[in-house]
Amino acid sequence: MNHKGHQDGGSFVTFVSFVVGPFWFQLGRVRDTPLKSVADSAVETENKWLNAALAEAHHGEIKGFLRLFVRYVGGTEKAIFSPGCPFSSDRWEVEVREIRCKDITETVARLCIEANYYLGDDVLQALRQARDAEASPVGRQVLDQILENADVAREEEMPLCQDTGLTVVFLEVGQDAHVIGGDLYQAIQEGVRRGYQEGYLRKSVVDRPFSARVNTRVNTPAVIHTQIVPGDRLKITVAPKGGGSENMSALAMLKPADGRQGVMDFVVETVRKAGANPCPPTIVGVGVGGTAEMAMWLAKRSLLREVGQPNPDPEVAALERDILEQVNRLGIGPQGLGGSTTSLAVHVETYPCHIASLPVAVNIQCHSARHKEAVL
Amino acid sequence: MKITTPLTDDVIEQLHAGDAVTITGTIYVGRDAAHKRMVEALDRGEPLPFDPQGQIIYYMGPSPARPGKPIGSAGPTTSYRMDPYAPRLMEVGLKGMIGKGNRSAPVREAMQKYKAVYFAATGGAAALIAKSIKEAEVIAYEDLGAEALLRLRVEDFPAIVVNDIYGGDAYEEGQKKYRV
Repeated sequence: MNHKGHQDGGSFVTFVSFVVGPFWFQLGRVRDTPLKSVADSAVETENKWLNAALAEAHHGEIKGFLRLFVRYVGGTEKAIFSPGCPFSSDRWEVEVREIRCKDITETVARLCIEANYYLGDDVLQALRQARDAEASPVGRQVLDQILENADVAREEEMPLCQDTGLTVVFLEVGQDAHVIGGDLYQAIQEGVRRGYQEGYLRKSVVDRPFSARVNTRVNTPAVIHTQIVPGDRLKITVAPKGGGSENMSALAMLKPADGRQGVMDFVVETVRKAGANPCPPTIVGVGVGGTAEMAMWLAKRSLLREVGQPNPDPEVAALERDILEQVNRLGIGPQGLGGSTTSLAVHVETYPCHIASLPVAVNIQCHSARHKEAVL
Repeated sequence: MKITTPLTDDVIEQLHAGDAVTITGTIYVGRDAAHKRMVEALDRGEPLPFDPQGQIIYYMGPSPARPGKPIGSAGPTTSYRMDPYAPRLMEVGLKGMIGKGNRSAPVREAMQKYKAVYFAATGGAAALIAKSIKEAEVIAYEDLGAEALLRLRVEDFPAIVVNDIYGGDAYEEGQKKYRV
């Protein structure tokens, strides 16, 4: 939103914005602006949306001018005025929180190492359950090896898998967080460089993908996905992704008429074709809806979920169960040597999509399902 | 079954799809970029950096060794990416390959033709597998980093025969049993 305050030489600082039902709220302060000018501008320019100026009663105590904007976003454009202001600036000001690049780098380095050495308890538990349920003797042996490997890696502080992956980093940046002392992305890349060097992790990234393919020797650049979220924290999730499973990814732009069955068929066929390659037992990440790139992002992000935790939407959770059942009927089994455990879980995430589209993306995760997170 | 390298036809004839084996002796390590270079060398009429007669190539790119250890984590990589190069190496005497995942029809045919076998190691059991590797040295293509060509001395390296010289395929046979 453009505020007249800017033009008057003041600045508008948003402290809180949120949506409740059909209403969008934004609370902020106009600094260094004559009160009259702000009040006038509210009348002149904001009456279309109806932004309510408030806290006039407090103007003697506060540094600027506190305003609450309320906009009806649930249907026909309509402005709502919220008279009276029950809060003071002291209660409502949210200071922008500063986060140092140095801390970001150190955290990323640590997460790279921890993710590659220590398999999550949820994955271990899923593997143990699979070990007990597996019908094939060879399959049980493979699962025993995988479980033993996790113990060796932990005890000897070695990577679980020699393929320590291309480092995928998910960021959730609180809108009230302020990164200081450098560039956020550079701080992350530096953390990856440091983690892979100090942790004896393999450098698996090549530059010039279709020609020279020269190893960058430091495992950068990482792939970074950023979301802006409410709050003043920075959540960093490091998820190293091996090439074997990543190479089995697939995207289909289905016809809406293909529906639920079309989604199931495409996912099951993708897992069937992948066979032994993605190191089963796998976790199958599925993104349905959005656009092509959104669907794949959803599929990847679903892999961060605790293994086997169902989607909160019952309809989506039922789809997850049905796909998992179909996938485990394929008989691929641990390492593709045959068995009843081809996948430990299917995670589906959805998003609304275009009237003409039904995008489905599959991103397969090997049994070495590595990700670690921290909040700064 | 315990087998030692180099592999002889006698031993190879005894191996059947699905057999669990342990391998002791010298094996070589190469993956994508090293294979490309080896086949380019052969095409130019140059010798390989090692004598391939009776040898096994392990498709692997290890993580760096900690001081005092011969190697870092060392599990198999997916084999199909080496399919375009594998028949050429069998032609010059290679007898075994260790990796994970299915091989193409031309590779399986070449195994029958040249009497070679394909073994699978457990993908992702890389820290465990490293315990069976006693020595490791770079013998060529050091500039490739994790993809350099290595010579390993292994003791009781665990593997499963996937493709034998009789056309057997442990993936196909195993999966058929549990498909419902």
